[in-house]
Amino acid sequence: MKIRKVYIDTRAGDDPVTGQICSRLGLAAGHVDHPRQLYKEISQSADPENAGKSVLLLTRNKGPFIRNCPGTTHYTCCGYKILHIGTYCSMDCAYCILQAYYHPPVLQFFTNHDRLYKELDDFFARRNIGRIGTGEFTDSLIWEKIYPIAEQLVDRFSRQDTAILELKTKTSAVDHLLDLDHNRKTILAWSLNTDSVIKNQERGTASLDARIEAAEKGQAYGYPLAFHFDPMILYPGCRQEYAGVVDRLFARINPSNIAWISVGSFRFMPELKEVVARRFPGSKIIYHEFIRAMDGKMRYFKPLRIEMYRGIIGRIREKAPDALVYFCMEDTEVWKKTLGYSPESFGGLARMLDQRAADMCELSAHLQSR
Amino acid sequence: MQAEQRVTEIETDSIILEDTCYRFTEQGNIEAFAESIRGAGLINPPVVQRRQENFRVVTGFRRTAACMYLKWRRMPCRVLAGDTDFLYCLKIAIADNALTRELNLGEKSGIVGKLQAVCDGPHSISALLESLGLFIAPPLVEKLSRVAVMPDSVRLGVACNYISLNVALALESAARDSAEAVAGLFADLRPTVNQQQEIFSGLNDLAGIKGLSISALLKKKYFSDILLCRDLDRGRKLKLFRLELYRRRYPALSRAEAEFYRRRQNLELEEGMELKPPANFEDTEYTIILKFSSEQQLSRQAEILHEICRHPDLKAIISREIEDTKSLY
Repeated sequence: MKIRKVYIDTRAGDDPVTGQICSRLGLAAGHVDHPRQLYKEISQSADPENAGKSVLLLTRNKGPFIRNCPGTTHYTCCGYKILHIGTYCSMDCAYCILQAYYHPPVLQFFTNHDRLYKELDDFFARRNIGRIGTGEFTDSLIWEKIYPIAEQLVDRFSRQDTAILELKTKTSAVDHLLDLDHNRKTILAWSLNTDSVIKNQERGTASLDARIEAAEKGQAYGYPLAFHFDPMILYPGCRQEYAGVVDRLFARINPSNIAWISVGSFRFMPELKEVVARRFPGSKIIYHEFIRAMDGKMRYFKPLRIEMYRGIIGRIREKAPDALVYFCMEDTEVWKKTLGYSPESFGGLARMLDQRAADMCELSAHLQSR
Repeated sequence: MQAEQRVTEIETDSIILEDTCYRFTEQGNIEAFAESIRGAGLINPPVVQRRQENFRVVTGFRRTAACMYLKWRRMPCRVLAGDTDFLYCLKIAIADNALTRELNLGEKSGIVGKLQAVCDGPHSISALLESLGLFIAPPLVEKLSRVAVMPDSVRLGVACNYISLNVALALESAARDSAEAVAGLFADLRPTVNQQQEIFSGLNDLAGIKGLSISALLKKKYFSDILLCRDLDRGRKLKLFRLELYRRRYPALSRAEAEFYRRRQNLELEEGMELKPPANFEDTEYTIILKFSSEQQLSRQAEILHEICRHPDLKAIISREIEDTKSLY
């Protein structure tokens, strides 16, 4: 993370987290009465999406810290919960939806942790199984150099048995977490892709080997693991290359340590296309047989997705027959044609994953009927 | 400084019509205009600026061209001194044109393009134009200034209204030769505004998929065979071109559609019965529409529905297995 300038929302100025981050960064901070001022400045730059990666705004989260994953209509959602610690990412993936999701996208870190932990305690007290992740609106582990939020959350989750924390990342920066007493309540998760996608579309991320090596370290220290083949991207030779990723993963990771593997294909709001074309002129990912899907997002024509999924799932099944594989945002037809069943026959996807979390992470809370 | 009010007769040969420093209008039909001048005379003489021994036109390009067409040896003009300020001349040219007729987008773009050199930004240009009786809001000035630096073929397309302003702006992202190729295509096929968007977007995507420029793509045999065919009229060419573009842009989807239509044909639905697929085959729900005007017709349709429920082609339609998707990646 290369922060060029720090801004402090005046309302966050007295938060202890703000002080700690400023002293750690050693940069003179500017103060803004309202983030709008900063948003305007970033919006006017030639490459706002890039400008937002070098400016950090320390501010308060005015909405809920724990929120339901926005999901999408018409497709099966996994009932995930997001712990909203901050926004945007210092890495630079061509397909990143955050480029079009925020106007403009800015690195923001929320400092009102008193309320964050209050919301978490309230959630734990309800005694319903939860899968909570910090890697939806940002990468879970990019913040550690300026504030050890993941470290603190691992500790907090280790002292309850209701929910699991999923730290989802494209980095390999897990060393500081290894010695923690995680009590198997934190799942270390990696987004995986082929070498060529990582090289050409994921600027500033760890290599595939580095990610798998980091996962192997987590495995050695007893962390449950998860992997996300999302977004899968169609290109000549991709079928063999994704199979190769599966082979390399299972050469080093024991399937019994994997909580789940998700699979999803590249999909995007139509607005993202212009951003990718402008910011990544060499990228071809927006040029394929995309159709406007039921939720308004652009997706590969369904038979192409199904064929791609069959390839990778077949390989995963060969290596890890019992792994829990699920789709992020696909419909029943895709489930049945690739996995041979629909999640409804097991009480729904959320319940399947909750059950898995309960078994794998020794949770003793209630399984909710959803 | 003001324009010389006195009209002077000058040698027509001394007017350099090719000097387009102050030109932003189209030539139009000179013959018809010349006939009008032959009949009624030159009512409003052009304004010219002295350039050493010759003159350049400030306003009145068509009038001058018409007089040349009529082979007038001398013609009446108002003459500006050689050192007359560029902006002043431009103001005369704008005011003279803006007050006589509605200027098209290409002409407005030409004006904005020339004013960019002497004005500071869209708001300044908009204010100056307003003082001359031409109202162009700053956001449109900004767009027109972008069109002003585009290839002549694109500007001509905007001026002649066969390229929409939005499509012209989208062409900014294409290489110059590709923008010119698209402008040439639109000049030839004259698609509607929606069709322009569809064609440009399809060509842009297909070029991205193939790793070619749009201009190279348009030279491919599958397109050039249509575009260069002399036996096809413009409407037919446009239809075939769009169809071919769609097939190339969406190969799997168009195969699925063709397969659906083939199998639907086999169902032998009667008149008034329609089977519609879900949009892009993304959803799994198909729609049957029945139109009837008598109980007998509805009964007959019910019988057919009963029959097609067991039809292998309906089963194939619903199962939606499409072969040969692997070849696409």
